[in-house]
Amino acid sequence: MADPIHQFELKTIATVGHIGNMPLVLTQSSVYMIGAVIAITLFVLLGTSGRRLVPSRLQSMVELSYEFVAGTVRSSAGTEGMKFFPLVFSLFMFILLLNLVGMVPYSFTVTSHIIITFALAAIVILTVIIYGFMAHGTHFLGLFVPSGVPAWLLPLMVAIEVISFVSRPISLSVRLFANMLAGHIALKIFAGFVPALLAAGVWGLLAPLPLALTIALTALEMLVAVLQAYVFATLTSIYLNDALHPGH
Amino acid sequence: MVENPKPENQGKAPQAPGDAELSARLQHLEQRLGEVRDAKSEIRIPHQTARADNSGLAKAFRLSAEFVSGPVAGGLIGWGVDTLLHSKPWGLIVFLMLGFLAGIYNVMRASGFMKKSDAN
Amino acid sequence: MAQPVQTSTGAPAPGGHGGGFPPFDSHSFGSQLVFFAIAFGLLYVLMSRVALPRVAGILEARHKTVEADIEAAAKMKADTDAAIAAYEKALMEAKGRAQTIAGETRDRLAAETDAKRKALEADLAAKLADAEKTIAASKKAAMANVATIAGDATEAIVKQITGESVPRASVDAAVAKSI
Repeated sequence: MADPIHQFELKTIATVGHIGNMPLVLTQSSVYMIGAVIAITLFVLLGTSGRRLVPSRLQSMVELSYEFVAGTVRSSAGTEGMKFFPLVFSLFMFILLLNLVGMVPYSFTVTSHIIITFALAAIVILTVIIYGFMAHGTHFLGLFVPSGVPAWLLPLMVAIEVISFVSRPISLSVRLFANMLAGHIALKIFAGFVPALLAAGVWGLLAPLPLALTIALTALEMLVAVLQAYVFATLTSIYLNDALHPGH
Repeated sequence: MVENPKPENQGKAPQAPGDAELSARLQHLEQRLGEVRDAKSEIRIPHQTARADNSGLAKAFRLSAEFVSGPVAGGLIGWGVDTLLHSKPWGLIVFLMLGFLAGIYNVMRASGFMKKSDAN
Repeated sequence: MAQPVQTSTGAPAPGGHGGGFPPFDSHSFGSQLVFFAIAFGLLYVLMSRVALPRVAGILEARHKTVEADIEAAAKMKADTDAAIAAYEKALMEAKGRAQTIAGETRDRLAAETDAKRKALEADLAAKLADAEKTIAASKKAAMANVATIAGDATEAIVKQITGESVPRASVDAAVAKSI
């Protein structure tokens, strides 16, 4: 049976240089990321090249994604949150495209590497912290002090709030990473059963079973790929809302 | 004066159905304009209260990681405290427990069981 | 979670840095982060500087056009309403005026007829009075004649019967008393 872990391996394309004594390696993951950036940019630019009042199909797709992300940001972070719209849009499109590209057989799923999802989450949390302190100064720390809590419980609540805050980038990155990883491993295992059963004589009669499961799982994973991008964008908006309105 | 009513009447005969059509079209236009105005005012109102959890499945995916991340964060903080203060293993134990609480807190908050006071 | 899978499959990854589960291989983290930063930074700059303002511009333009069209429609409708109101008002005024003119004409004609009728009546009344006067005069004359004839007759009758003449004055007085 095919090794389900093999698909997550990074393949070195070239060693570009060295930072200190660490080699800077261009892998297929980097190529996928840069390709995604080019694809997203082309998608938006080609879609809007007509600047038509009545949109073409591509333009309405661009407008749809724009309105969708804008709606997500607006409903979670209000109109003020729209200043972070480019960030949320970039995150959403980046994750969505890389998730979907990962669904193509034999392709590589960039978002199944924890370091990438963690970097994405770190961007969000750093934005929240930096903007929060810049806009509100020490008032931003009010985020950790819940209102309406008796004084004796306050230290405990503050500790819990701090841990809860620290857990945000973890949950953000682990959720995306684990979903993509688990989904692809499960797909690979079930798909691997099909040729294994076919090769095992009489057992080949059972081969349609894992095949059907694989198809169902593929559909589910497509949904998960989109949903994870959506969840990431939604949570980003909710966290950014905390940076905008820390006192709660 | 005696001559006038005759041409007027002649003009009115074909105008009568036109009148009805015109008023129907006007009514339709008014209705459509009202609809458009309603839709616009609806967009203007920010539905701040309805937090973005509009998809049940998206919510489920949120919750799935919300709890686990609490103890993980607690463990990380505890480990950091232990290495800084050389208090092994007490920091880890305390912060893991706090992280457990934070995980429950996260889930309660994410599921809307405990509403954040969004009054301001 | 991944560790047991890794040990059961066993095979050290040929491309990896010393095997292990690739997503947790910390040797690759540095390079991945560098390329991620480059890619995402590029994406963010392209989106925020070039792409999204374009989309926003298109949406804004459409929004404005739609807004303007709706406003124009609303204005035209208001104009139509005003025109209809003006038309109805003019119609009402014309009706009112027609009514007053008809009323005036009717009154004038009635007055004229009335006057003619009155003149005619006065004429007739005068003629009637004349006739009555003539009749009264004729009657008076006739009555006078009757008295004279009666006096003569009485005088003659009395003369025949009594054979003596009676003074005319007393005969006249007696006749006047009995008529």
